[in-house]
Order: sequence, then structure tokens, then C-alpha cells
Amino acid sequence: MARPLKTAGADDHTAAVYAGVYRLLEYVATIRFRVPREDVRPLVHDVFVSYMRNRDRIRDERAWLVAAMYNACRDYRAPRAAESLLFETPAPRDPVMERVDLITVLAQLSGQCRYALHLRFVEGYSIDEVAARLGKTGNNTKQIVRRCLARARSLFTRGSI
Amino acid sequence: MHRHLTDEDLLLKLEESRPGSLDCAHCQERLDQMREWVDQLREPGVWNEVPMTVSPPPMPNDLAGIIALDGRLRSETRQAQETIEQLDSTPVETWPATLNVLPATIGLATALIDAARARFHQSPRDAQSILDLAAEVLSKIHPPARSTEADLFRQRANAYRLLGDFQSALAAIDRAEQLYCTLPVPAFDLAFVAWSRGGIYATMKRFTEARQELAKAAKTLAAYGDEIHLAQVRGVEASVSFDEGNIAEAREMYREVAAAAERFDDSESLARTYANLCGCDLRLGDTESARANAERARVLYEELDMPSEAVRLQWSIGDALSRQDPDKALHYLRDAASRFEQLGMTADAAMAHLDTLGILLEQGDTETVASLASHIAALFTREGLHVDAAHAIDYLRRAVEGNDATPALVRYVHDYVEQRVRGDEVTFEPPLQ
Repeated sequence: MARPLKTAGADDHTAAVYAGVYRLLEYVATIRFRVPREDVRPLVHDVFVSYMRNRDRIRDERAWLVAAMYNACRDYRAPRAAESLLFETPAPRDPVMERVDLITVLAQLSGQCRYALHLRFVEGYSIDEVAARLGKTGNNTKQIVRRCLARARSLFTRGSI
Repeated sequence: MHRHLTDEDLLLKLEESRPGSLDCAHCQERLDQMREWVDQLREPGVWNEVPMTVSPPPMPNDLAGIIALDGRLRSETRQAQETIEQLDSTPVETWPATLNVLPATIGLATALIDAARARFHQSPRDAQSILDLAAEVLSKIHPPARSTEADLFRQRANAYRLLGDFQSALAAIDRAEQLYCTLPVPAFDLAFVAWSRGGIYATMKRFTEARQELAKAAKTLAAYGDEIHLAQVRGVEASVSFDEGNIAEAREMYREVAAAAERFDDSESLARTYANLCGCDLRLGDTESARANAERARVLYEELDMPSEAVRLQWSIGDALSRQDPDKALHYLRDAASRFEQLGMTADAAMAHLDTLGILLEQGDTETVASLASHIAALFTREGLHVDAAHAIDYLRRAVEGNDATPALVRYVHDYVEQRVRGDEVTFEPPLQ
């Protein structure tokens, strides 16, 4: 038996994904890769064409689209780098770029992860206090925080970012 | 041997109230980086800048058009899948009669490629015939559907690998790569190309190239946050370690892959990984664990309807038992060889028969050896595959008939045939007496 296709409401789904992620992709292009605003849309367009080609095997759509945007921006910049003296390849440990990457990573996390990490690391709540706000047990919350942190770190250190 | 701490280990370390310094300089450097990173995370400004879903611009018309087209293709594919499901129980040779009256569409080609994929492990030869039908459909579509053509060649490569025709597999994967490179943002597709190519090299025992390709695939999949496929690639990397003789390392890697497959509810990978763990256990002499893993794999393969993989499992068990329990090994190997033949996997059948022949010869059962040698030679000749390999088998057959065959000669021929089947251009030279 062939694998079933995601068909019912697929158009609506893609449109919803587009609406949900466009600002983030635009942020990656303009801030991280300094792509001129007028060139962002064609890049997002290409990313979505690639997304539609691979949709049936994508599990984490947000992370996938951001990675694809990184690749599209790199491809966009590569031929222009030689043309423009103004463009400089970011240094491997550029703190500004690291900050942009971190912001991008946080935007890719699920709502629960963002909330849990914000409570724990920005608000400085204890695990039990975070648990009370999430409506979970202490152990469960500890696991959620650990898993979300590991996920954020892996997105941050992965190849394209 | 020191094992560097993983990111998760480092995060746990940071949770300690007073994380002391580490002995390993590399781990310490990464711990410092991790601490710095967590400190950045504490900065409220970072959180305030997170671009969320506020007021996206309207979708441009061209993209909306592509999405609508994609929707139409999917519905076309779904209809074609329904037709193919009806053909499912009939021989593939009869399919053109039904398919030829249908319009040649991308949806039909896609449905055929999917149908071929579903048959890889039951009958790679049928899968290849179905891919031929998909190619025929695609040849009638103008302008060419590059993306679907690329998918077709990638699946052709996988089918050729399963059939043991490695040179054709490599040519097909090269073609797939060329086609993917013509598409926008092809990095993700190219990760699957690297994975397939790595798999072909691994089967050919070209381990260095296999590792390079698999590492390339793993890097991209990690970048795309695709942990399921990443775990599957790690499984192939583990099999390379196994084939290189690093069994304990392979077992450790397979355990990690099994944990990931379980986490993602990926039964197919889990079945394969249990089978591989069984192989590691057998090589390490841990028979109890081997039995448990073999049983887990068998149950899953049955559930997934993947007979060729179940046969491979039998073959590995037979191979592993050949030294310690030859009679039991014979039982597994004979059954595996005959089932490979039924599935049309001639190269694998011949290799399994050769393993059987080696044991029989050591047991002095010359009569069975002679008929088996003739059978293997006939098998190769009938399939028209690897003429040189057929010569080697025929040489062995004549040696058996003349009572000159020895276990060393069987091993020699076995190694030669294996080299030939995996695509090495070597000519058969009878061994020096």
C-alpha cells in the first residue's frame, strides 16, 4: 500500500503555515542575511515550493522552513558576495549573529516550550512554580524544561544555523 | 576510552548547584559555551524580539497559484492511487493494459513511484518494473516534471541497490542529484540523495565514501530539525561500523537509533534496528539478547509486511551461527536462500546458497554440494547477471564434481562473487593450487 497523501484541506494548511511563519522567514532574510526587503518574497516563494515538494516527509514544519530559508539566503548571497564589497561573511562567532540565531530558535519552539523556558530562565521561577503555572507535576515540568532546552540548543548548534 | 559529553549531559551538568570543572578540555570548552548560551537565554530582550505571527502580508498570487496547483496534483495522485490499489493483486506485466488508457499525468507517475516504494522489500524486481511504467508516463509529460523525475531516479537507485546492481544504482542516484539541483532550494532533497548514495556505498563495502555521504546527509537533516530521518541515517552509519568489524560500537549506535525510533513511533526503523542489534549480539556472543531482538524484529516485519527483510534477518542469524552450530545455521541459510529466490532477489539467494555450500562441504556432504553448485550456476546464468560470477560458480561446480573442492575454495569463490555482485570490475582467476 502506498503512503496516504496529506490532501484534505492541504491548501488551507499551507496557507496557514505561510501566514504563521512569514514574519519569521522575513526576519531571517533581512536581519540575519541582510537580504534587501524587495528580494525576500521571491526567496520565501522558493522555500514554499521546496516545502510543498517535501511536505509529506516533514514533521517539524517551522524548523524545516527556517532551515530552508537559511539555505535559500545562503544561495542568494553566494553569487552576490563577489559582486558587493559591502557584504561580509559573518564571523563564525559573531555575537550579533548569535543573538539573531537565538531569536530565530526561540521563534521555532512550541508555545509551551517558549512559556516554560521564559518562566524558568527569564522570570527565574523554580521548577515547582513553573509546574504550578503549566498545570503539570514537578517531575513532568523538569522533563519539559530539559527537553525544550535541549531542543533549543540543538536548533541553535545545527548545521545551517 | 573517554566519551565526550553530549549537549544533554552538559545541560544536566549546568543544573548542578556547583558544576565543577571537567577533566576533558574539549568538554570544558563546550560547557563554558553552553553556560554562555544559557545566560543569553536569560536576557529578556531576546524574548521581546521574537518575530511572531502578527499581520503577515497577503500571499502573493503566484504562490497561491502554486499551492492550488499542488492541491490539484495531490487529488490527481489520490485518484491514481485508487486505480493502482485495484491492480495490486494482479501481476505487474498486466498493468499497462489499464494504465495506457489513463491520461499521462504527474499524479499518475507519483502514484506509481509510491507503489514501487511499497514493493521494494517484497519484490525489488516488481518495484523496478513499476518504476519503468512511471518513467513511461513521465516521458509523455511536457514540460518535463523535473521534481517527479528526480524522485523516480532516486527510487530507481534504491531498487537497483536491493537487486545488487550497484553500478546502475550509482548512475541513477547521480541522475537524481542532477535533476534535484535544477529545483529551488534543493538542500533537503540532496540530503536524501546523499543518504541513498551512502547506502549504496555501504552495501558495496566502500566504507570511507559511505561515511562521507552519510555524514553529509546527517548534517543537512539535523539542520532541518528532521530527527526521524536523522536517526535512520545513523542506523546506516551503525551498519558501516558493523561491517568494518567495530561490533560493540555498532551495537551502541543501534541502541541509540532504537530509542529514537521508539520515540517517534517509527516501526520500520525499529524492526530493522532490532534485526541489526540481533546481529551485533550474535557476534558478541550474547545469545539471549540476540534471541529477544530477533523476535522483536520478526514480529514487526510481519506486521509491516516486509518479507525480504525478514529473510535477511534469517540469513544473518544463519551466517552468525555457522561456526558454533552448523546444523542450525544450515536450517536458517537454506530457508533464507529459497525465500530470496521466491522474491526474485537472485544475488542474495546465490550468496546465501554459497554460505550453505561452505558448511555442507565442511560436513562432507558432497552429493548435496554438487547439486547445489549446479543450482547456483544455473541461477546466475538464467538471470543473465554477472557472467564472470557465473563462471566462478561454474568453476566451483566442476571442482565439486571432480572432488577437488575445499572450504578454502568455496570462500575464495564466495569472496569473488561478492566483489562482482557489488560491482567491482574484477576478472575471475582460479586460485593458485
